[in-house]
Amino acid sequence: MAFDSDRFEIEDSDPEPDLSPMIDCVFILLIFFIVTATFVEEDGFQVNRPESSAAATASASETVVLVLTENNAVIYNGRTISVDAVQGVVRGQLQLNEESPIVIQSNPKARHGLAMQVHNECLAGGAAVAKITHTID
Amino acid sequence: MSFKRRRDTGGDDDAKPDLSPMIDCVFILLIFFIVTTVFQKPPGVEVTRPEARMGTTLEKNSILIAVTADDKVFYGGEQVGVQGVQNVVRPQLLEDENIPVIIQGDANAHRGVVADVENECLQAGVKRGRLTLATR
Repeated sequence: MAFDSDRFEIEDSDPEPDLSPMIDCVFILLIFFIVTATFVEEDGFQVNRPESSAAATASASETVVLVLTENNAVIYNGRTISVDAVQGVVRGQLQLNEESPIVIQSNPKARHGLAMQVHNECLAGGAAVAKITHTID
Repeated sequence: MSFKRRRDTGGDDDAKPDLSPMIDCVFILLIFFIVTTVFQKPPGVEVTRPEARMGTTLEKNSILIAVTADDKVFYGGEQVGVQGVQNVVRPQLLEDENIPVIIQGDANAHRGVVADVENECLQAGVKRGRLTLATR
Protein backbone atom coordinates (compact mmCIF):
# COMPACT_ATOMS: atom_id res chain seq x y z
CA MET A 1 0.00 0.00 0.00
CA ALA A 2 2.66 2.42 1.02
CA PHE A 3 4.67 1.46 -1.98
CA ASP A 4 1.72 2.08 -4.28
CA SER A 5 1.05 5.57 -3.03
CA ASP A 6 4.75 6.32 -3.25
CA ARG A 7 4.85 5.33 -6.85
CA PHE A 8 1.81 7.37 -7.68
CA GLU A 9 3.33 10.40 -6.13
CA ILE A 10 6.49 10.09 -8.10
CA GLU A 11 4.59 9.63 -11.32
CA ASP A 12 2.36 12.55 -10.56
CA SER A 13 5.12 14.97 -9.87
CA ASP A 14 7.72 13.91 -12.39
CA PRO A 15 6.91 12.59 -15.85
CA GLU A 16 3.48 14.00 -16.48
CA PRO A 17 4.32 17.64 -17.13
CA ASP A 18 7.23 16.61 -19.36
CA LEU A 19 5.59 14.07 -21.60
CA SER A 20 3.09 15.82 -23.82
CA PRO A 21 5.40 18.44 -25.40
CA MET A 22 7.91 15.70 -26.02
CA ILE A 23 5.27 13.61 -27.77
CA ASP A 24 4.29 16.61 -29.87
CA CYS A 25 7.88 17.11 -30.80
CA VAL A 26 8.46 13.45 -31.61
CA PHE A 27 5.33 13.35 -33.71
CA ILE A 28 6.41 16.34 -35.72
CA LEU A 29 9.79 14.71 -36.32
CA LEU A 30 8.06 11.48 -37.22
CA ILE A 31 5.77 13.14 -39.74
CA PHE A 32 8.69 15.07 -41.19
CA PHE A 33 10.69 11.91 -41.75
CA ILE A 34 7.73 10.02 -43.19
CA VAL A 35 7.14 12.80 -45.68
CA THR A 36 10.78 13.12 -46.73
CA ALA A 37 11.36 9.37 -46.87
CA THR A 38 8.92 8.83 -49.72
CA PHE A 39 9.94 11.93 -51.59
CA VAL A 40 12.07 10.93 -54.56
CA GLU A 41 11.25 8.11 -56.93
CA GLU A 42 13.42 8.07 -59.99
CA ASP A 43 13.16 5.83 -63.01
CA GLY A 44 15.83 5.75 -65.62
CA PHE A 45 18.45 4.13 -67.78
CA GLN A 46 22.00 3.16 -67.09
CA VAL A 47 24.45 5.01 -69.29
CA ASN A 48 26.97 2.92 -71.17
CA ARG A 49 29.91 4.32 -73.02
CA PRO A 50 31.54 2.51 -75.94
CA GLU A 51 34.76 1.77 -74.04
CA SER A 52 32.95 -0.26 -71.45
CA SER A 53 30.78 -2.33 -73.74
CA ALA A 54 31.13 -5.09 -76.25
CA ALA A 55 30.50 -2.67 -79.11
CA ALA A 56 34.20 -2.04 -79.59
CA THR A 57 35.08 -5.72 -79.92
CA ALA A 58 32.06 -7.07 -81.80
CA SER A 59 32.10 -7.28 -85.53
CA ALA A 60 30.62 -4.29 -87.26
CA SER A 61 28.08 -6.28 -89.25
CA GLU A 62 26.31 -7.55 -86.14
CA THR A 63 26.12 -4.20 -84.46
CA VAL A 64 22.85 -2.34 -84.75
CA VAL A 65 23.78 1.28 -85.34
CA LEU A 66 20.94 3.73 -84.91
CA VAL A 67 21.86 7.23 -85.98
CA LEU A 68 19.90 10.18 -84.62
CA THR A 69 20.29 13.21 -86.81
CA GLU A 70 20.19 16.92 -86.15
CA ASN A 71 16.55 17.09 -87.23
CA ASN A 72 15.56 14.20 -84.99
CA ALA A 73 15.27 11.43 -87.55
CA VAL A 74 16.30 7.87 -86.76
CA ILE A 75 18.46 6.30 -89.42
CA TYR A 76 19.17 2.58 -89.63
CA ASN A 77 21.17 1.10 -92.49
CA GLY A 78 20.92 4.31 -94.45
CA ARG A 79 17.14 4.45 -94.24
CA THR A 80 15.06 6.74 -92.09
CA ILE A 81 12.84 4.71 -89.79
CA SER A 82 10.26 5.74 -87.23
CA VAL A 83 10.89 5.41 -83.52
CA ASP A 84 8.27 2.67 -83.32
CA ALA A 85 10.14 0.60 -85.89
CA VAL A 86 13.28 0.49 -83.72
CA GLN A 87 11.82 -2.26 -81.58
CA GLY A 88 11.29 -4.50 -84.61
CA VAL A 89 14.79 -3.85 -85.96
CA VAL A 90 16.35 -4.71 -82.62
CA ARG A 91 14.21 -7.79 -82.16
CA GLY A 92 15.11 -9.04 -85.63
CA GLN A 93 18.83 -8.59 -85.08
CA LEU A 94 18.69 -10.25 -81.66
CA GLN A 95 17.07 -13.29 -83.21
CA LEU A 96 20.05 -13.60 -85.53
CA ASN A 97 22.52 -13.03 -82.74
CA GLU A 98 21.54 -12.60 -79.12
CA GLU A 99 24.81 -10.91 -78.32
CA SER A 100 24.45 -8.11 -80.86
CA PRO A 101 25.46 -4.78 -79.41
CA ILE A 102 23.36 -1.71 -80.12
CA VAL A 103 24.88 1.70 -80.65
CA ILE A 104 22.77 4.82 -80.51
CA GLN A 105 24.81 7.44 -82.26
CA SER A 106 23.33 10.88 -81.69
CA ASN A 107 24.04 14.19 -83.26
CA PRO A 108 24.77 16.73 -80.48
CA LYS A 109 21.80 18.75 -81.70
CA ALA A 110 19.36 15.85 -81.50
CA ARG A 111 16.74 15.91 -78.76
CA HIS A 112 17.67 14.12 -75.57
CA GLY A 113 14.09 12.88 -75.37
CA LEU A 114 14.43 11.14 -78.72
CA ALA A 115 17.58 9.33 -77.61
CA MET A 116 15.73 8.13 -74.51
CA GLN A 117 12.76 6.99 -76.60
CA VAL A 118 15.05 5.01 -78.89
CA HIS A 119 16.80 3.55 -75.85
CA ASN A 120 13.40 2.58 -74.49
CA GLU A 121 12.43 0.90 -77.74
CA CYS A 122 15.69 -1.05 -77.77
CA LEU A 123 14.95 -2.35 -74.28
CA ALA A 124 11.39 -3.16 -75.35
CA GLY A 125 12.87 -5.10 -78.26
CA GLY A 126 14.66 -7.33 -75.79
CA ALA A 127 18.14 -5.82 -75.72
CA ALA A 128 20.16 -6.26 -72.54
CA VAL A 129 20.93 -3.11 -70.56
CA ALA A 130 24.68 -3.57 -70.96
CA LYS A 131 24.46 -3.98 -74.74
CA ILE A 132 23.08 -0.54 -75.47
CA THR A 133 25.67 2.18 -75.82
CA HIS A 134 25.42 5.86 -76.60
CA THR A 135 27.88 7.74 -78.71
CA ILE A 136 27.97 11.27 -80.01
CA ASP A 137 28.90 12.26 -83.56
CA MET B 1 -12.56 23.08 -8.55
CA SER B 2 -14.64 20.03 -9.21
CA PHE B 3 -13.82 20.29 -12.89
CA LYS B 4 -10.12 20.38 -12.20
CA ARG B 5 -10.28 17.33 -10.01
CA ARG B 6 -12.21 15.41 -12.57
CA ARG B 7 -9.69 16.24 -15.21
CA ASP B 8 -6.85 15.20 -12.97
CA THR B 9 -8.35 11.83 -12.15
CA GLY B 10 -9.24 11.37 -15.77
CA GLY B 11 -5.61 11.93 -16.64
CA ASP B 12 -4.54 9.43 -14.04
CA ASP B 13 -6.93 6.77 -15.23
CA ASP B 14 -6.62 7.26 -18.94
CA ALA B 15 -3.49 8.75 -20.30
CA LYS B 16 -0.82 7.53 -17.99
CA PRO B 17 -1.01 3.78 -18.55
CA ASP B 18 -1.34 4.29 -22.31
CA LEU B 19 1.45 6.71 -22.94
CA SER B 20 4.71 4.87 -22.48
CA PRO B 21 4.14 1.99 -24.96
CA MET B 22 2.91 4.51 -27.47
CA ILE B 23 6.03 6.58 -27.03
CA ASP B 24 8.15 3.46 -27.46
CA CYS B 25 6.31 2.66 -30.62
CA VAL B 26 6.58 6.18 -31.99
CA PHE B 27 10.26 6.27 -31.19
CA ILE B 28 10.85 3.05 -33.04
CA LEU B 29 9.01 4.46 -36.05
CA LEU B 30 10.97 7.67 -35.76
CA ILE B 31 14.31 5.91 -35.66
CA PHE B 32 13.28 3.68 -38.55
CA PHE B 33 12.41 6.67 -40.70
CA ILE B 34 15.55 8.57 -39.73
CA VAL B 35 17.67 5.60 -40.68
CA THR B 36 15.90 4.92 -43.99
CA THR B 37 15.65 8.55 -45.07
CA VAL B 38 18.31 9.69 -47.45
CA PHE B 39 18.67 13.36 -47.85
CA GLN B 40 18.94 14.17 -51.46
CA LYS B 41 19.59 17.58 -52.84
CA PRO B 42 17.04 18.23 -55.57
CA PRO B 43 18.38 19.94 -58.69
CA GLY B 44 16.01 22.82 -58.09
CA VAL B 45 14.43 22.93 -61.52
CA GLU B 46 11.58 21.03 -63.06
CA VAL B 47 12.35 19.20 -66.26
CA THR B 48 10.04 17.45 -68.67
CA ARG B 49 11.13 13.86 -68.40
CA PRO B 50 11.54 11.83 -71.54
CA GLU B 51 8.75 9.29 -71.90
CA ALA B 52 10.10 5.79 -71.45
CA ARG B 53 8.41 2.97 -69.66
CA MET B 54 11.27 0.45 -69.66
CA GLY B 55 13.37 2.39 -67.18
CA THR B 56 14.38 0.72 -63.96
CA THR B 57 14.00 2.28 -60.55
CA LEU B 58 17.13 4.22 -59.73
CA GLU B 59 18.88 4.35 -56.41
CA LYS B 60 17.70 6.88 -53.92
CA ASN B 61 20.92 8.24 -52.52
CA SER B 62 22.31 9.83 -55.63
CA ILE B 63 23.68 13.05 -56.99
CA LEU B 64 20.90 14.66 -59.03
CA ILE B 65 21.93 16.89 -61.89
CA ALA B 66 19.35 18.47 -64.18
CA VAL B 67 19.70 19.69 -67.75
CA THR B 68 16.89 22.03 -68.75
CA ALA B 69 15.28 22.45 -72.15
CA ASP B 70 17.50 25.48 -72.83
CA ASP B 71 20.61 23.41 -72.03
CA LYS B 72 21.38 24.88 -68.63
CA VAL B 73 22.88 22.53 -66.06
CA PHE B 74 21.49 22.73 -62.53
CA TYR B 75 22.55 21.20 -59.26
CA GLY B 76 21.08 22.02 -55.86
CA GLY B 77 19.08 24.95 -57.17
CA GLU B 78 22.08 26.61 -58.75
CA GLN B 79 23.13 26.79 -62.34
CA VAL B 80 26.55 25.18 -62.38
CA GLY B 81 27.12 24.79 -66.10
CA VAL B 82 28.80 21.84 -67.74
CA GLN B 83 32.19 22.95 -66.39
CA GLY B 84 30.87 22.98 -62.83
CA VAL B 85 29.76 19.36 -62.86
CA GLN B 86 33.16 18.00 -61.86
CA ASN B 87 33.34 20.37 -58.89
CA VAL B 88 29.95 19.10 -57.75
CA VAL B 89 30.67 15.43 -58.19
CA ARG B 90 34.25 15.16 -56.94
CA PRO B 91 33.70 16.08 -53.26
CA GLN B 92 30.84 13.59 -53.02
CA LEU B 93 32.93 10.87 -54.61
CA LEU B 94 35.50 11.37 -51.88
CA GLU B 95 32.86 10.48 -49.32
CA ASP B 96 31.44 7.55 -51.24
CA GLU B 97 33.24 6.42 -54.35
CA ASN B 98 30.28 4.33 -55.49
CA ILE B 99 27.72 7.12 -55.31
CA PRO B 100 25.31 7.00 -58.25
CA VAL B 101 24.64 10.02 -60.42
CA ILE B 102 21.23 10.66 -61.96
CA ILE B 103 21.09 13.10 -64.85
CA GLN B 104 17.61 14.50 -65.33
CA GLY B 105 17.70 15.64 -68.90
CA ASP B 106 14.76 17.54 -70.28
CA ALA B 107 13.20 15.78 -73.26
CA ASN B 108 13.91 18.89 -75.32
CA ALA B 109 17.49 19.36 -74.20
CA HIS B 110 20.19 18.80 -76.75
CA ARG B 111 21.68 15.32 -76.63
CA GLY B 112 25.16 16.82 -76.92
CA VAL B 113 24.82 18.79 -73.69
CA VAL B 114 23.54 15.79 -71.77
CA ALA B 115 26.42 13.76 -73.18
CA ASP B 116 28.86 16.48 -72.07
CA VAL B 117 27.49 16.20 -68.54
CA GLU B 118 27.90 12.42 -68.73
CA ASN B 119 31.51 12.87 -69.85
CA GLU B 120 32.24 15.31 -67.04
CA CYS B 121 30.83 12.86 -64.51
CA LEU B 122 32.92 10.01 -65.87
CA GLN B 123 36.02 12.22 -65.88
CA ALA B 124 35.36 13.18 -62.29
CA GLY B 125 35.51 9.48 -61.48
CA VAL B 126 31.92 8.27 -61.31
CA LYS B 127 31.98 4.50 -61.65
CA ARG B 128 30.71 3.00 -64.87
CA GLY B 129 27.22 1.67 -64.35
CA ARG B 130 26.58 4.23 -61.63
CA LEU B 131 25.73 6.91 -64.15
CA THR B 132 22.05 6.99 -65.08
CA LEU B 133 19.60 9.07 -67.07
CA ALA B 134 16.21 9.78 -65.54
CA THR B 135 13.05 9.04 -67.45
CA ARG B 136 9.39 9.06 -66.60
